Amino acid sequence: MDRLDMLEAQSIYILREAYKSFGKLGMLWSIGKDSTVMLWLAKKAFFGHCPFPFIHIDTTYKIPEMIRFRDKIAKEYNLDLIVYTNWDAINNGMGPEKGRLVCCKALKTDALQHVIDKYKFEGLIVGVRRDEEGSRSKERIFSERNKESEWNYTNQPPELWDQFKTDFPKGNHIRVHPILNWTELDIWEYIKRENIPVVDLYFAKNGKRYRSLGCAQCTGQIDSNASTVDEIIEELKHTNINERAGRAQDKEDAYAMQKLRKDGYM
Amino acid sequence: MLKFRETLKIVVVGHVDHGKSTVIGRLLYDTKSLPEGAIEKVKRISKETGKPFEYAYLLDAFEEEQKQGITIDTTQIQFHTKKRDYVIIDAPGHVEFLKNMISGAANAEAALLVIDANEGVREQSKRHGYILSLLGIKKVYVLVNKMDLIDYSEEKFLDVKSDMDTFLKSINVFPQKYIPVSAFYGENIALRSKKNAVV
Ligand SMILES: Nc1nc2c(ncn2[C@@H]2O[C@H](COP(=O)(O)OP(=O)(O)OP(=O)(O)O)[C@@H](O)[C@H]2O)c(=O)[nH]1
Ligand SMILES: [Mg+2]
Repeated sequence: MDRLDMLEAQSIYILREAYKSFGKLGMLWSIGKDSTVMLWLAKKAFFGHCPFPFIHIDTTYKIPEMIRFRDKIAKEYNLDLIVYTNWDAINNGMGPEKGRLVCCKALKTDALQHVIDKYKFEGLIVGVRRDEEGSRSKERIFSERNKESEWNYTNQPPELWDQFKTDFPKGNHIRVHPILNWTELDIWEYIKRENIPVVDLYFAKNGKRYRSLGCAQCTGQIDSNASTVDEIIEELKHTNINERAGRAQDKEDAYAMQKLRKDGYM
Repeated sequence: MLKFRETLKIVVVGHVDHGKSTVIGRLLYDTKSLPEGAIEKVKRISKETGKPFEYAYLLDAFEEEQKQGITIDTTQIQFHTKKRDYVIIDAPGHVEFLKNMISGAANAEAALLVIDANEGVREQSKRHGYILSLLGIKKVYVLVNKMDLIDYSEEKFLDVKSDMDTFLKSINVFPQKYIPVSAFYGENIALRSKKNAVV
């Protein structure tokens, strides 16, 4: 079987297992390439109609093109979209200048926690990949979080073949990771094969492009002339630079992402 | 058109501290499969903590794993050669994390069973061998590691091989090959070693 076919089949299986297992299920959509691929997979898994809401945690610091792309796609695909901002924190002056990790915690992790509490989500589908960074490399496909969204990563349950742990105490929830085993290159090859629309920011203009998208202040561009999907694929085949090199988060200290994610960050 | 490429999933198993993560880390290093900055990051951590450099840190990403010098949970990485794509699965050797070892091994089609040449066959060497047979993983290679610690002695290598082979035969596991290696020094990892006459 072709690698992309294999990955697609596995992801679709995971999405359907999640739908079967959880009463209240939602998918995080960050507008980036990974969760946009996941949205595509969800449409395939459920024959064009996604039977759960999509959640965008809007920090208000996103790059404007991202928001325009979000609204356009949401309309085209007729998505049930929940947009949530932690306005209390914003109104109290929260922003990147308060410290990147503090800001991520308040505007992303805490915001997500508010959404979980409000809608009582039991399952949240998240588009993280192992090859992004260390703590994600150690994830399970179905990964439990407690009431405070904490991840007990030193004691994860076994996960054998395609048997996933779906029972958990009330109030906890499961993070479902359908594209955990995809690489960045897989994502772009799939985007090419399926002709999936992605936000323009990934394509080079004047020698620069975004390789990973986040908040404007904390995400840098890379030097690149790759202005089409084909050129991005070629670029990735020959680069040895880390995908998240442009992201400030990962640079704070060696275990910054682990700490953020332990507390419920995606 | 997308070309068809074969993918092989290999798990690395064996007793705690016998060098499983180092085998994978060194393989990635020697084949230039690491993203830029990965080795520098490990060097920085070693410097900050005053501990020696470890290839294993490339796999053991959790702070707890690096502080204690052991693998707690399994992970997978992609690895490519001209011939095919590989998924290499790192598994923990400590008995306490057996459930994580099984979670990793369950996905594999082939296995590298790592044994420390100096310590010889230990409890988890056997137990992991047994789990491979339960899971029906038939393609098993035994790596006799840390050959540097025994001055690349062929005699000791053959002792370890014979010990392990006796046990594995009794549970119907017939390894494809026993390979003497030094993961830390890259002997017989990506390139054939000049030190081992025994290969
Ligand atoms: N001298 C020598 N030391 C080695 C060699 N391979 C690994 N080591 C060392 O042995 C120790 C354990 O190596 P790891 O790779 O962490 O062992 P492991 O089998 O992954 O351990 P667990 O995952 O915790 O079961 C580290 O300090 C390594 O540097 C080798 O070939 N020679
Ligand atoms: Mg290890």
